[in-house]
Amino acid sequence: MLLDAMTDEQLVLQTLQRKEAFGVLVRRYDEKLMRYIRRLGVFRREDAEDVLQNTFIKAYRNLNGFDSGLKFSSWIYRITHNEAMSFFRSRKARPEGSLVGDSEEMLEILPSVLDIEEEAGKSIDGAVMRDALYALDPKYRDVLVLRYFEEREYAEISDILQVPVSTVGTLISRAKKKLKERFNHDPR
Amino acid sequence: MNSNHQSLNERDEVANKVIDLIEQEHVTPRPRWQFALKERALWSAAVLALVLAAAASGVMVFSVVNSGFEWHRVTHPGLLPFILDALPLFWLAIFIAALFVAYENVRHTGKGYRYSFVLLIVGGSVIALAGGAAVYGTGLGSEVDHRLGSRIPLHKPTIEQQKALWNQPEQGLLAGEIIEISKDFSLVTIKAFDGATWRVNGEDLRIRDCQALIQSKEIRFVGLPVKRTEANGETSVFHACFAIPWEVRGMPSPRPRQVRSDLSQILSDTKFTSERSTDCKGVRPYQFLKSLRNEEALTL
Repeated sequence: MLLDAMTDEQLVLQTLQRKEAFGVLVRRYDEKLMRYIRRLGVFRREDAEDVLQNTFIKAYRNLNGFDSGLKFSSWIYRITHNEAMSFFRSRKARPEGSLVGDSEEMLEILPSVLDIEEEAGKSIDGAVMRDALYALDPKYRDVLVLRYFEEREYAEISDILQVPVSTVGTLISRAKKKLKERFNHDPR
Repeated sequence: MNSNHQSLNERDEVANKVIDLIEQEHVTPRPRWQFALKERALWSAAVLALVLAAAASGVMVFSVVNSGFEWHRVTHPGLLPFILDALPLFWLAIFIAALFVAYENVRHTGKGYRYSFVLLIVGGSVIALAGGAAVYGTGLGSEVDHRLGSRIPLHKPTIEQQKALWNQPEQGLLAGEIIEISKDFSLVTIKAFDGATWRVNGEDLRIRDCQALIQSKEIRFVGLPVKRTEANGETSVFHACFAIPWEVRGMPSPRPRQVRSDLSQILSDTKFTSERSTDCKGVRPYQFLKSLRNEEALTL
């Protein structure tokens, strides 16, 4: 069976026998994870690449700890999230959140999530939305990014952030409320 | 092509870089046993913490059952001081701390994060309390309280606390082991729990008190404060108004009651007056003690 035709979980088993199989996993996930890292607020490309590289190295080192009861994607997203948080801690920094090009994405996703409609003569500013999102407490921002930008299910978010599914629901609901409050406060 | 999307070459580059790094730095997957060991260690620590919580709850039940609530008006000035005295705060703290240790350990197992805080704490409490009931039922509660509790600074095991509470002759409370009972019940000699020998005047004791005396090995008296004169070698004298069996519930093997048949016959022939002397009426919860023991209903 060709490596490219294998599932993620099969590739994990293969990697434990020959490390080349890990390259396939890296190719499958590097783009998604890079986008996720930058959505988490690691703006500088070099920093994001470092976080990504550390993520893959850590995943490789912990392959034997991968629980086949989980989806591989949830597991690797979890490692990515933890690495990004470590990056912020080591830099004593908050997410930078000025990712160029995300304003369009914000406009595409957030108004419908927050149930905000453009009023006559008033346009919604994507940059303001983006700033409001990145000004949120990380626990709220992270669930919104995973749910609406990464399009993850509640159970997957639960596995990524390592919180109960019920907590995910609560966090999403509170996050939407807080984001809406922030946006209403400063719609520009 | 969208700038967010990497070309195939770029993606190969990342993959090759990661693989190169793995080779250069000789990164190898951590062996499976390390993960299994960590998982087992977490579960074992959680189980041990639950066992400790169960032991603590067993001791709490033992403490509460033996707190002497029915006599609180005799031993304490009010309900609140009694509650403050009787609450097994030390074991409650151990119980709560052990539950949190169990929670933290389960939380850090592979899938522990899936359970909510409330579920784990409530579930852990139910398991620990059920274990505690078993600990109390088998008499281990008293053992743990005695063996562990006596080694902890500033903590007094329940029975020691009760003995100290009932060993306040100045407050009209005296308890200890019966050494001798005179045939007319007018004099009882006991060895108090602090080791002192007391001659107890039993003239004011009534039928219920005498029944308690002949059925018990250890006894407690409510009476009148008297002067202690141990210094010159004489035994002390205490005027008893009420005698109550000294009972400890939840012991591993309850001591069998030894009824003194010789005194039992004498007791059945003895005529008691209904009222105690005026001295005893000065005992603070006099009416309470009488009503508690249903003395009014007795044919004296």
